[in-house]
Amino acid sequence: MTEVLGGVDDNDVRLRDALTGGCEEALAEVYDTHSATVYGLALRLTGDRGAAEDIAQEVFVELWMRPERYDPRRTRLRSWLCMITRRRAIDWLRRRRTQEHYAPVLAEPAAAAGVEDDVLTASLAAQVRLAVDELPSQHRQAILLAYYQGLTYQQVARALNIPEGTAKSRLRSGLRRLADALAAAGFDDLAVSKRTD
Amino acid sequence: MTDDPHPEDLLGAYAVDACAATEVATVAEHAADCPRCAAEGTRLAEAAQWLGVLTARRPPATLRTRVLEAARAARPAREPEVGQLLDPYARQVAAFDRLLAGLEPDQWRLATAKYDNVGELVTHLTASDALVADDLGVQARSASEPQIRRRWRAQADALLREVASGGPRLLERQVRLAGKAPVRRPLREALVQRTFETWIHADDLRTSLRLPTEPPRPDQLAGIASFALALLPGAIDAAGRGRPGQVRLVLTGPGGTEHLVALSAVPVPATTGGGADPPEGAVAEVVVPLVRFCRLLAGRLSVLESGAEIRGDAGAATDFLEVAATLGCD
Repeated sequence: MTEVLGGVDDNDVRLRDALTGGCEEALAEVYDTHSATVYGLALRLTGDRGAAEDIAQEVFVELWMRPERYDPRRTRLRSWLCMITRRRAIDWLRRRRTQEHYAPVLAEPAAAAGVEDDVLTASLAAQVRLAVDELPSQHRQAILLAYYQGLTYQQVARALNIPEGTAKSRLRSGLRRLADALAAAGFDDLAVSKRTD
Repeated sequence: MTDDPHPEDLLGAYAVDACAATEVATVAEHAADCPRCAAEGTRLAEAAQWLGVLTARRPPATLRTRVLEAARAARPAREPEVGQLLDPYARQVAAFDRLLAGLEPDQWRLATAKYDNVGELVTHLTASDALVADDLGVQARSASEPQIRRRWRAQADALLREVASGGPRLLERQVRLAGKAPVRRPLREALVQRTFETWIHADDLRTSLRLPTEPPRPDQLAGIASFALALLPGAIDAAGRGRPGQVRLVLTGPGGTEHLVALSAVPVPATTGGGADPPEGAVAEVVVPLVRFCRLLAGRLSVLESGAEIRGDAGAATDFLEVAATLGCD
């Protein structure tokens, strides 16, 4: 949509260019940096280890095959990988749900696990956790249902027994609060100098 | 701005892919013309994707090998020899693209080196790159790309991809070089020339923007000098200035080396039987910093501006330098 806030991440640009040039070390570096996030997210969404491994593989191979689809000027690499992971996992879930009746459960995401030695990911997770915990619970519920269960806003409305308009507005206000909290915590991709509205 | 009402109520759901397909299309269409909604949509999506780190979990150790093997099977990794030639070019492409991406609309109108504006400069570079891309049969993915910058970048990326997956044998493929005279040389030399030309145009743009110039690494500059020096004797002949003898070129500064360069590509008959050794003394010696010599090759410094020190046969040395200054891609 528009250029990522807080400027382009030079390291993401470097990795994307190296991937375009067929540099396998760059793929290994991306994997080592982001595999816990990608795998953990796929596992949280699908609840299935085998599916999570397959999805993680698809996500990294897709990046390797078509690195030019990732534009570092639009988003951070981590965000882009999460977006692709979510889409794949939600496709998997939707295929499943046509077979079994699916009842959304309100579940808080499990804490990041087994990544203590991955200092960067562990510290990012702790900061995001703090920002999420500070959200009003109504906003938090709507966001977590949509993000981790792949629900549409209509499904979120049904799950929380609220009007659809309320579900939409909770998603928007909740994400704005989350963005503001993360920006205040120093996440420069969410920094905002002037808001036009 | 469009006349449509802002679909603000949908922006949160849109950011987490929680809209119906028709709603996604509505928001995307609107955001294409509405910077305010586009900015909010981007920011909310970026915030949402940070939720992904909350559930980070170390994958099984076997997954790493599995992923790298699947990747290699889907698209071959480049070989180290290819990487050595490709990395310097990729670096210049990235640096030039970064400069272009940061240009304000009025800066695109700046006169740059030999071009009336930046657009013409980039179009010229795109045409030079196309000589190699066409000879390799590379199709830039977005041939219909309307933007000058994107069209150049898409072709450069396609070229990088093709060479990366081609292996060392591809490096021997004969392709056209850019320049005044049509010459075909192996791809390995053409890549050095692409690095050279992309760097020179990036520096052209830096100069127009009053930014400091940024030469490539010394070893890459040395590669550029060697590439040009191999073409020089033939170019001296073509300019009608060929003569027997050699010039000793002493390139100083980081990456500097010495070269003995023939003043003609026509082989000189040996004066004594079996004596294949080059003559002991060159007819002239030229001492110049490596980076300045590369800028002279590009036609960005005159012989005088290069500060070259000349000893011996001044006429031979001047011919040598003046022809060297025509070896750029303009």
